[in-house]
Amino acid sequence: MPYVSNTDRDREEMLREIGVASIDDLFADVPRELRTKTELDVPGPLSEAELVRHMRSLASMNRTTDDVVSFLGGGIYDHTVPAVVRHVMSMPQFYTAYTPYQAEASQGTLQSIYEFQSLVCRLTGLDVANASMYDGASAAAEACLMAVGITRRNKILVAGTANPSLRAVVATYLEASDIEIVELPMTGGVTDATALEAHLPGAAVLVVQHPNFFGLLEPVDELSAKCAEAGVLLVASVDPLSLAVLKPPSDYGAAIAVGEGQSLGNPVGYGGPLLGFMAADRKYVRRMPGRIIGATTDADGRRGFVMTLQTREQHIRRQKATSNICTNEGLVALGAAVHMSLLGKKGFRELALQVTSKAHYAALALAAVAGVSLRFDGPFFREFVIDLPVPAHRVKEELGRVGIWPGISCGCYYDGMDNSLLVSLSERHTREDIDSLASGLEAVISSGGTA
Amino acid sequence: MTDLRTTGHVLEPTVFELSHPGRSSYRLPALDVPSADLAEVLGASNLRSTPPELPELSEPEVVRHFTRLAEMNFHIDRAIYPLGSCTMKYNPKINEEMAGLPGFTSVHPEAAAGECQGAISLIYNLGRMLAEISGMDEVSLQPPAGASGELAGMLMVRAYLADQGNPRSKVIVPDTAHGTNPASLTLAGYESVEIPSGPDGRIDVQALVAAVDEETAAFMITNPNTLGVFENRIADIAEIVHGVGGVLYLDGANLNASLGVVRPGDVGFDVMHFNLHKTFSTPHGGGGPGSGPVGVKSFLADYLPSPVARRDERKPRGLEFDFDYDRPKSIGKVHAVYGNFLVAVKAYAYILTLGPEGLRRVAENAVLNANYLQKKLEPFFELPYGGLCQHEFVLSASRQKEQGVRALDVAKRLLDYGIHSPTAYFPLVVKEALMIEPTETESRASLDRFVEVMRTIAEESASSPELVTGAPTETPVGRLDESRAAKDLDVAWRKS
Amino acid sequence: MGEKDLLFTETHEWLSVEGDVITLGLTDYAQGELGDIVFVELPEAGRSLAAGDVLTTVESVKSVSELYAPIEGEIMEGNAALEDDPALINSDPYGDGWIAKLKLASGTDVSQFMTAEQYETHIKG
Repeated sequence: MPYVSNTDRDREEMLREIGVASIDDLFADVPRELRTKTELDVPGPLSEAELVRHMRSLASMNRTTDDVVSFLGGGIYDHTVPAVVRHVMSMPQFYTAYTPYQAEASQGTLQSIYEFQSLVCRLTGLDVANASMYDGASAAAEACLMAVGITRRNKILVAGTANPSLRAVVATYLEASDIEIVELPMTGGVTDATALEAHLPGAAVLVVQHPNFFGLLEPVDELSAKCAEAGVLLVASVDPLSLAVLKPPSDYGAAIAVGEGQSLGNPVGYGGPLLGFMAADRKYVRRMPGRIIGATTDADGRRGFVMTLQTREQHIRRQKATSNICTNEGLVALGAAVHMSLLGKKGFRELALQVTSKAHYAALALAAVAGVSLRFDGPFFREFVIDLPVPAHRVKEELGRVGIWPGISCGCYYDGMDNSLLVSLSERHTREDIDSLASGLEAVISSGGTA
Repeated sequence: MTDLRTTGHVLEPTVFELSHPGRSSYRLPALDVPSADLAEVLGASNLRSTPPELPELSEPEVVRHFTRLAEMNFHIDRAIYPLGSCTMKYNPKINEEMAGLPGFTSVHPEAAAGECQGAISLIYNLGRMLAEISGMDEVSLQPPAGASGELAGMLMVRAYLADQGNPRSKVIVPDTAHGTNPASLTLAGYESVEIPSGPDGRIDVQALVAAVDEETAAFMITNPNTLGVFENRIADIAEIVHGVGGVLYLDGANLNASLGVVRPGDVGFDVMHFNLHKTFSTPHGGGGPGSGPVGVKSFLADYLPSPVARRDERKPRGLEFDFDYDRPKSIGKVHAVYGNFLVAVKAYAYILTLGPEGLRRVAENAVLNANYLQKKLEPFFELPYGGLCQHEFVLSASRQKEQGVRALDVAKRLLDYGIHSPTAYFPLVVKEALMIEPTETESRASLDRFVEVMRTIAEESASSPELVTGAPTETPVGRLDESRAAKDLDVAWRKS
Repeated sequence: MGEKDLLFTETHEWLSVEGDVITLGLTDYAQGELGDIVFVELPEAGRSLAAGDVLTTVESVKSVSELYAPIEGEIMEGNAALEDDPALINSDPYGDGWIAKLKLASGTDVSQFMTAEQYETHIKG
């Protein structure tokens, strides 16, 4: 029997030791009339060879980012995952370990997550970070709950330019509370700072994504100044790679920074697992959700690491915990720490520069196509929106036939943007890829929407 | 920080302490487009003045650093890891390999449904399998962890009851509940009402009767419970809860004991979450990622997190599977995308490898191993709740406490013998608790060794308790000062 | 003031009464049960409390203990020294480890509380 180590003889002897006659007797507490009478109707068992054949056939039914030239992004980004990251993440010492409840036997996990937290602090400029959250969306939701707790105000402001999935998860997390959510309008693809003013009184927090869903840089200094005046906390949802070149959230007064860290050494993976991260000003550390790793010393004064401030957490504070989170995304956080260590100070900046350069080359190339224009004027980092003379979904279908996925249809998420595409670039795109997108668009448009 | 010893305790510097200016390792492709002037395209006021201080190491140094860290970890591939309620079973290697297929790892979630039929069919079919295994009608794989499944489940309860006219205000939990239960129901807008367990460690049915009323939204329980006993009056419990119009929620953390033996949906549960990283063998990753699918009876199905994977057999092959976003009653999204898909791939491969008979063998052997251990350990440690157990049981170090040795000390001493400790100080109803779950993948020989070590520790506690209270001594660091960590908070490395 | 002059509650608070001001803290027994105290939330001056309301929380590494107002009153001040050194509660529970001062509502009766001897019996029971 797969993965069971006892032999029939072991079982017999063990039953004798226990003092029962059969396995069935062990389930005496389960009322007989409630037990499953028939075998479960699930497939299998499969041998390893059969399993591999089946799984490969399923995998082959998916078109991957290697099979096509993909410009899909929108929060999940396709970068090269260095072999070293995969290698470390596949060490059984890391992936088959549990949560580091016994610190002395878990120094590997604890120190690597401490390093992850340190890296997050270095990117964001904030003092404290936690050991990870499920994804950037739930991290933003938890940041809202933190801010409500800190300010004791019952209204949160969310930029309409934040990722639609982030806004959806925030809404779910707050659904059962009496907290009011106000979605802020945009102007020119970024948060309308003037419209913000009317909503500030009584608000706990403003959540702004920077760069936002459209890839645009938000007027963070202006938003921050207005929030500060009204005693409203600023939560910045940031793309970690952008922080290689953009000023850190601490510079513009964010109390809490959150974000999606999948792009740090993890594959797109059909959207999961992802990696939420959270950093905050030190004075809010006791309000933070999730595990936090801290340095300390052992009996001989040697440095070691433990989970700390656990009294915030559900296993101790139960209904009064800062959050219900228990399992997090530890292994993905490890991958991110390896990734940032491998790229290093220079490589990380170089990667951000490449992504920016390719995005701006692509924007120029696409805007040069007759009928195509850039939707917004503001500065952008790794992705941008183009307007087409025909519906975006038709262009996607046509280009899909020639192996090009030109981007995300904005119309799926925003009214009045049916002809708009969000185009995302990474270091994986070559100039040739970008040029082929431009010529492909040209062909589709010149034929009136059919290639 | 320099430590030149090569044996015994060797500390590993942090990656920052290993950094040397100018060192780098990773090579990007040569930039084949004009290099952007960052100040020009991003705006000078948006730029940071200095790059973030990431470490500077060569590739061999990075690999060695993380390898040395890895060597400091206990893990299930090395020895028994009997953490109660955590189900630390062997993680099959083939599942890791399957989840690493590029046809799964490199699929972008924004790809059109027709371009990822393999992925959606896997999500759909794993949902169907979990429904069959649990007796639930519909399952969503979206929650990325057990606590997220709990939140989704309780929000569905709330939405359903609100549609009936009143969302109600209270959720009852037994005193043996996992901490996530009261935390999740609070997040879902409910007040937690705790009821005591009876003398046999089971739910005190009279206490439940006294606690339920028309404000009871749900009763949230784990079965078998965290003491490892099956709630043999579950049918009565279901009737009591349903009698006041409440919903019965199962925390599926302990589902391992029930596979193929009893289905939660058949004994009165209306909603539950699964832990794929417990019952279905996906690895814990040192804390995550997990996956916490939520299953419901049909009356709650409209409220499932959106989108829901579906199959339309009338559509041509290659277009049968897609996601249904038109779910007006849905509680919305609990994850940015579809949940932890690559974790689901592993659970799917696991179920296919085992098949129906194999799943039942999991439960049988998990329960057999636990009862065997309980029997063999009973002479050395107090067993507050005797009788047959399910997949786990709880000992108390109360006898050892009289000798000056606490559960924590026993836990630390086990580390010296190369064995991870059981869950200590949980459930809260047992003083000096040591909660032990061996799982089905341990061999009798492995269990016997564990018994031998526990017997030795019991003897040491009597004869030389300082050996136990001074433990661990064989780990990379000695016992760590947790109060110092909390008082002199250091959660990010800084140059001192 | 010595331990003998203090009054005690069943929930392990001690108090000393001077006019309409009471000083209160956690008993020696309670601090011993909690172990190393690592954090105390500083009680907020000006907040009014009914008897039995949570005054503040005291945390050790693995537990959180709530400190209740034994009597109706308004918080005058919390012990700011505990912010830097919460372990004062361990080292000097009846002295430097005091937690808060309350201003009593008029006509409050303190006869309900235990004496040192009665408390001693209570914790042994």
